[in-house]
Amino acid sequence: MAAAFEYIGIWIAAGLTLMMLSFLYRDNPFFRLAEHLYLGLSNAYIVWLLWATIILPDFIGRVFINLHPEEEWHADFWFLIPGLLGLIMLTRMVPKIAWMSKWALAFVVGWGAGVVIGPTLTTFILAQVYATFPIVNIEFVNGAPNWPSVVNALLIFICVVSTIVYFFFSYEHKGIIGKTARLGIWVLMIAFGASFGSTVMARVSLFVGRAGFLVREAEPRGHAFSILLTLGILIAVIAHLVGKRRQRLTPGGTSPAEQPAK
Amino acid sequence: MVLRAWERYLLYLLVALAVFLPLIFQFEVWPNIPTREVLGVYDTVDGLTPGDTMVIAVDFDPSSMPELDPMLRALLRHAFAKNLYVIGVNLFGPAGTGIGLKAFNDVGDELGKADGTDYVFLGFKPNLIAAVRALNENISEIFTVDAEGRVTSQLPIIQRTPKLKGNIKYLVDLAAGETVRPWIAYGSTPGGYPMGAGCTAVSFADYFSFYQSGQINGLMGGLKAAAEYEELVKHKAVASAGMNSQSIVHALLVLFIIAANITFLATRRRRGGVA
Repeated sequence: MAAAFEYIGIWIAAGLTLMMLSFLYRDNPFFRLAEHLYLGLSNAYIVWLLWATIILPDFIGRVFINLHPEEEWHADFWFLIPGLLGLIMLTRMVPKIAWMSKWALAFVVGWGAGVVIGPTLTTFILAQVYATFPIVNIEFVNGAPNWPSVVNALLIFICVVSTIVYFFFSYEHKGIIGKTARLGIWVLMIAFGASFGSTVMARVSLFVGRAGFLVREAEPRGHAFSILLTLGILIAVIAHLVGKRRQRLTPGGTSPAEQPAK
Repeated sequence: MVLRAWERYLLYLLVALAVFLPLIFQFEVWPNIPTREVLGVYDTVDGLTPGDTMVIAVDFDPSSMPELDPMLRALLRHAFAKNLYVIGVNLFGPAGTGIGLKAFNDVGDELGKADGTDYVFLGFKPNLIAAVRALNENISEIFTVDAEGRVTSQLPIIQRTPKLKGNIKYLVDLAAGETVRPWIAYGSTPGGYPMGAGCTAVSFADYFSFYQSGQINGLMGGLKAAAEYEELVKHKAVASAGMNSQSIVHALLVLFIIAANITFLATRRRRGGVA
């Protein structure tokens, strides 16, 4: 039975994947159906998961009901406080008592600031500043400095300092400060270029992931990929022909294949 | 210069062929030689003693699954082959729980590991900072039940490792978002255990500063790093196959850019300096 459900599930997943990809041709009802299904199902799944794994065991199961009768259980009324704070967050939906939600927000902001300040200073500022100094990054082999690491260490130091100078607006960007800031712009551009290259790689990986699913999982199960793709192409061709026919009836129209990309 | 629709479709078709053909007719474009950053994670896991416990934070959801799920499976395969105990947790978003649970059970079953004894997947909890701090002090307090609804205090693996601080030998955060920073600040630094990270290719440049500073001892970025890890554990799977497509698409994109620039320059010359 489980195998049959898995078989059907993979056919549905393959169909929905192709429906999503159909947007590359243009917006269409199949794409919209898949999009709405995705949003609806993922939201429903997340709501259920939040209920089953957080609200039920961490609030109701700690204060009101013993969810595991085989275990010794005592109601822990301290959990009423976060539960209450969570509930008053919802008062934002009632304008007359919306001010109450500020209590919960104040608690979250206060707690957050207190917890975050110390570790942020040590982990993200001091440790990172320390790692910028050239001497920390030079590697030694048999007591002698490894020259590529020396170049690397100097490069890190110069790049970090020049980038910081670029964002330093207390002095006009002229003379040595101007030149250093200009170098900082180059460093930023190189960093953005590296990030953009990685982003392209990541986006291709997402497509590779879906393509891998279609080839490795959907195709072996009754040629789901081939059949659904053929069906999709047939529907697209028929829709295109119908569109052409309608254009002939309304002079001056253009088909999607003739429209410029937006 | 505006592309006409059929030109756009032609580009899509070429990219689709570059992705699908290496997946259908499997061949290796070039080997995925492990980089120093990936070796950082591999060598640490490889250097652990059988019976040690490590944590894998499955901090991603379906939108990053193609890059991070192969990484998770390769890492699990390595840890189970070394007879390590593995605790899984998800502090990113509720949708990651299903992915983590499936990967742990799939690889665990394949390598004959017992759920609850050799490994456990705890599931999701919100408020990352509070959850990380609580995990360092008492796992059962914050995760009263695991992702499958079992009482964690009764599971042998949690009885052996009641808290992360002082008990685990390594933590790897597979992150789709901003979870590496809190794990460093509130998990690994106060907990005193080493940490590695895996992330999407998009985040790789952001997290590199933590690798350079030594706050994490290894960093795996995107599908490429997953393929390198598969190469290291000698089990080529999804990531290695995907990298063949990835490599061809990259070459194709470079060709597109060259062709577009040549067309752009030619058009400008024809119009007398204005494109």
